[in-house]
Amino acid sequence: MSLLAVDGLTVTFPTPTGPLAAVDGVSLALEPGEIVGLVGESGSGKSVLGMAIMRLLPGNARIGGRIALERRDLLALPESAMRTLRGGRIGLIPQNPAASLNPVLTIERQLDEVIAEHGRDRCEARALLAAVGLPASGKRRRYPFELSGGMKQRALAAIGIAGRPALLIADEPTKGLDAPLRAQIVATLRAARAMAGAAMIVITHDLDVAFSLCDRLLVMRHGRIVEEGPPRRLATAPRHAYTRQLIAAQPSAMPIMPETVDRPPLLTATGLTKRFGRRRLRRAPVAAVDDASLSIAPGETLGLTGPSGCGKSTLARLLAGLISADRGSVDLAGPSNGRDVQMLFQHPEAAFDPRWRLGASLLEPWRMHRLGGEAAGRKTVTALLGGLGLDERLLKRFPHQVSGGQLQRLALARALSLSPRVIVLDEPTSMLDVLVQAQVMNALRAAQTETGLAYLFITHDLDLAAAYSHRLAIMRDGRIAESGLASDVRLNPSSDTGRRLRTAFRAGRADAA
Amino acid sequence: MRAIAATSLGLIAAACLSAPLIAPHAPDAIDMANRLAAPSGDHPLGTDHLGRDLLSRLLWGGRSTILLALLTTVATLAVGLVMGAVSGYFGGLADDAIEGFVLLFQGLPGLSFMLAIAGTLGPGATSIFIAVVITSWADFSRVVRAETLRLREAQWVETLRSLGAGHGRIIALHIVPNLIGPVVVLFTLRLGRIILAIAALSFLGLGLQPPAAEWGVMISDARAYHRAAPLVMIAPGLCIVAVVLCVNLLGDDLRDRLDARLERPALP
Repeated sequence: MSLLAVDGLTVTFPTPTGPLAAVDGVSLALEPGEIVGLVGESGSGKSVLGMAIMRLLPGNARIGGRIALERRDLLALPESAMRTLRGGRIGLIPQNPAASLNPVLTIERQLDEVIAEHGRDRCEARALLAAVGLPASGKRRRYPFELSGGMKQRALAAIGIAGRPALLIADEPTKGLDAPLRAQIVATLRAARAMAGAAMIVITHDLDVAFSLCDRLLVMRHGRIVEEGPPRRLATAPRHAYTRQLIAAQPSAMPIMPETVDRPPLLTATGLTKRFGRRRLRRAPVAAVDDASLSIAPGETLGLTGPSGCGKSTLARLLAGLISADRGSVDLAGPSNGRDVQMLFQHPEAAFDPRWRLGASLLEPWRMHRLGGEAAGRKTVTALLGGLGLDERLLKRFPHQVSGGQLQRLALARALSLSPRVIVLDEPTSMLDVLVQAQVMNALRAAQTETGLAYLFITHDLDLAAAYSHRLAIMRDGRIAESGLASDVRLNPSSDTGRRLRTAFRAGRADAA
Repeated sequence: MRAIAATSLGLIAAACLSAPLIAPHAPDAIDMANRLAAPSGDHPLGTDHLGRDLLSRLLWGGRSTILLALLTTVATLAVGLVMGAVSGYFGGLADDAIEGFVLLFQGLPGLSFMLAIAGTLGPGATSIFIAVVITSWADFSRVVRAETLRLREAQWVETLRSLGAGHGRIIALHIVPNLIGPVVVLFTLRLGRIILAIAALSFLGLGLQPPAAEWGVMISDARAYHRAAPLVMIAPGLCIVAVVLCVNLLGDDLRDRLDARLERPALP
């Protein structure tokens, strides 16, 4: 008998333009101990499905169909009975670990709360904690802000399985994490199954994680399941066109950049050093960037990657002139007009003044640098939008009315309108789905081919960096650990950090091959 | 509730501001033969101790109270906005200096300091204005500073800097317009308190002076006659309560609507 049976589930939300079906007739069954992956783009309804099983949807959602856990109809249960199920029979590992822990309680207190609520033995929980890699002494007694992102995610996993759930729902457990952390989370979830015997629904748009972790995959699109099967079959012989599209857009499936650029450097950074904080007794200020040197040629993309907190973003800001270096210099070949280095940031939805229409925002740099008349500015912007495959009508909208992928391309158009020679890309796609990521990356590449721009492309994804960069540099603790041609660094890293990044990627993918 | 508050406030404000057109009598027309008269056709709310028409004085009084309160609140807001935006945006030394002043001014005992200023400069509208601005700007500055700090860290502000936008441009065209929501809320919530402060100072004889028509002055004038003609004292008192209540209700409502953090459907 199956543990969980979802039958013809529909979830609709009322919107000003009529009801919107977020989940549209989904049926699935889960056996005890089975790990099922739910993959698809944002808005495909995968998170809504997870929340519907937990019955944690906002009050305005209309739910139809049947959800049965161990033969109990969850949709018919009173809220009080549901409350004992949550954290007990059904565990949740929520999205966004940073925001899901109470900042004023230690991890241990938050864990004990769940254990007490569900009448479990504390010793048993200790064993579970050891299984997710948080040892009994030390880390667990700490407050959330003292833990790294990966440790928070593991603490949440421990809390999720503390009540020994029969079913665990993990919502985007690896979003925005770098390769070693993703591998760690996959190992943690596997350990959780081994210890607690829990069945899992893993909601993710990261196919690498889904392939290596799950027994079965469901591909969702527009609220429906379009394809279902074991990961091996889906990876080798996807049947639905959408699945094929998803797999092709996965950075690990992309070929490594074959070209090289052989030209004298355009931008040269020498010995850049930036320290934060004041010197205190027995504690030197932290060097975020420590004696980093690099150069980029016209028309070249230099990929910069490394573990979280290695100083990538600080280096980006130094190059763009947003902060000044303590030591070292940034030099541009040829005459400079002060607009040569532009920057593209991580969060597209935060790239524009929320109160300005996009048209005004896109024309702003043109106006403030007095590059020419109003009409010429409009023409330039329109031409740029055309080149990036964007509809001119977007200019009449406000930022919150436009999707993330479009906003990122609009931000690129705004940077391009100043005809820069270098653009620093700081994780430009890490907040986007794989399909949209491919779209934005291709737009960037097209702009480079047309204008001979140089990019410094910062990303935590080694595969993505290798697919779009001519050369790669790996950073660690503020220093450039190694750099070289994309294929060399990707396939035969010479530094420890490079090898670790690469092994982590391999580990995450071992079962997919 | 919001509709009632908005309508009543609108009606009261419209009536008061058009006092020169609709008041049946001049506010200072003395008619000693008709002192403390009961309501009649000629005097809809009766007359006060000098035989002046109560309704006309209420209308004219509301006019001066509301205009003075608006002017004072706007000035307070302007000072707080500039100080808060500069201190929040630039940080560092500017922030330390302005924050120091903010703490200093927040430490002033509000009403007694107003009394001291009105006492030093002599009673009148100018002293009320100065006293209220000095004692109230610091609270505005605090809120604006906190909001500016949040905006300054926003990625789009950093993007604008990377595009080459100057500080003046960012503050004037981007930060300040984004402050309008919280500032409007603060404005309405503060307006009520400032109306009360003006009435209180006038009541104590430190604001507008008799024979000027002003609600606080009118209550003060009526003290001696409140047994013989209670309406002369109750009417301006009710006006103050009604206006302050409506303004506060509107402020609360605006805060709820503009604060995105409260915009959530109820839990199931």
